[in-house]
Amino acid sequence: MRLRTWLVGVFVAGFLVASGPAFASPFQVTVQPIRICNDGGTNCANPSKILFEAEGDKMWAQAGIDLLFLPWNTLNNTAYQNLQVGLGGPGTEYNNLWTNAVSNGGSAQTTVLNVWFADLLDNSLGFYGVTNFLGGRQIAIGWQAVAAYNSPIGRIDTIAHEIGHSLGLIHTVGDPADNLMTQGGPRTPALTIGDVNPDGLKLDKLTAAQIAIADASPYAVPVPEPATLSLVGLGLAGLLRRARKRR
Amino acid sequence: MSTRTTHGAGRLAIVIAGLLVACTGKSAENPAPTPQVAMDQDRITLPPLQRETASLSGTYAFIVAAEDRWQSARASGELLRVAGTRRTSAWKTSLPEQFGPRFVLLNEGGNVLLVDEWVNIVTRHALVLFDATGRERAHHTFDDIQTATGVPGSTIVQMARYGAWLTSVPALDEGGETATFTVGGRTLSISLADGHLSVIR
Repeated sequence: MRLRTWLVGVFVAGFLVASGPAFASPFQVTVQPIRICNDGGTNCANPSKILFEAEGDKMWAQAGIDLLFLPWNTLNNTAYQNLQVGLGGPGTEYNNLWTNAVSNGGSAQTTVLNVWFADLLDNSLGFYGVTNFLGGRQIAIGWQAVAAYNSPIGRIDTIAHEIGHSLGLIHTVGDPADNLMTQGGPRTPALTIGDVNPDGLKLDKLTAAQIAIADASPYAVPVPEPATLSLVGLGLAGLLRRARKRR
Repeated sequence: MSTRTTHGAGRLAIVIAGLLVACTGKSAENPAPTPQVAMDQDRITLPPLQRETASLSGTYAFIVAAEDRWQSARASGELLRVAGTRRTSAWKTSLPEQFGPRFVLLNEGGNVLLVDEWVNIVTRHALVLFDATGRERAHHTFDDIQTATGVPGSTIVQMARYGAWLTSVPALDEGGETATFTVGGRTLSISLADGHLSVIR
């Protein structure tokens, strides 16, 4: 019986280690997407619910971060469809939106990033996205601007870029065209996932320093590694044996 | 090993596992929001609703204009013949570049060279040449530029200082027949007569 218990534990541990690739990203960033619709709940921004998740995952894989998008929420508010951002201070629509995040469809969990998709930010096709402050978790995207860039594909790195600000990254000094965190004007986004670093044109790069900052963010939640899980497995095996013995 | 020891080992494993997970955790508290406007944006400055370029002597002018006040990214281009205060439209067309070209070069023959796009993009419209009648004489993509230079695309972008591929502002020669610019450490030229692209050095 004792031998069987240990064999079960070893098997569980071995399985978890062997399934290592399933846990390749040591960190996970969870995102709550929210579409802003009109008061009647129609004419929602981002009608196809595009998140550029595969592209964002590849960009953030450079930092060992996997993006987890929660199911969509909806906010019915015509006034916010063309979201006034301005200087972002109190009294602006953007400020009102994120300071009342939960009642506006956002997650209350402090480790979850909220991303609202409006039609436009400040009525501008040049305004792609904004984060409330460095390290903040409230993001707004101007979907018509994102979609208009290289239409019909869209600007595939804006969401990943704003997530970078939430993870504590400022705009890259020197404005290198091929860095994910370079400010909007000088940055050259990848047009397809095939040109995201380390492939193709090697665009949307992250430096080692940027990776270190992002990985230290409270929003980059560590994913348990196989070694840790194997210990849990051994413990469960022991409990299983005890339960059998009671019977 | 006794039953009691096995049970203890199981409990200990759970405790150790829990501690390992807890020790790798990080504070999830948000920093206190500041009242300042410390937002971080992905944003570009849109061009003016209308931009004008003149030939050296002023004989021609080329206007790039927003077709719908930048409610879309569509721009139009119009070549004007200028005689004193009189301006006559030679031709007008919708342009392929998002928000219009980054640079416009115009020679005394009314040939118009549109360089790159306003937005940073690996572009299909790197160089577009129109003659004085509005006929498109040449249309070079980023890939054409990369092929001409022989420099890897990733290096071209890495070295770019204007848009996704230019390391210098393009310039017309004295006669207005050729425009030169640097890309990825190479100097290229394009003829405004026929759009032929060549590497100088």
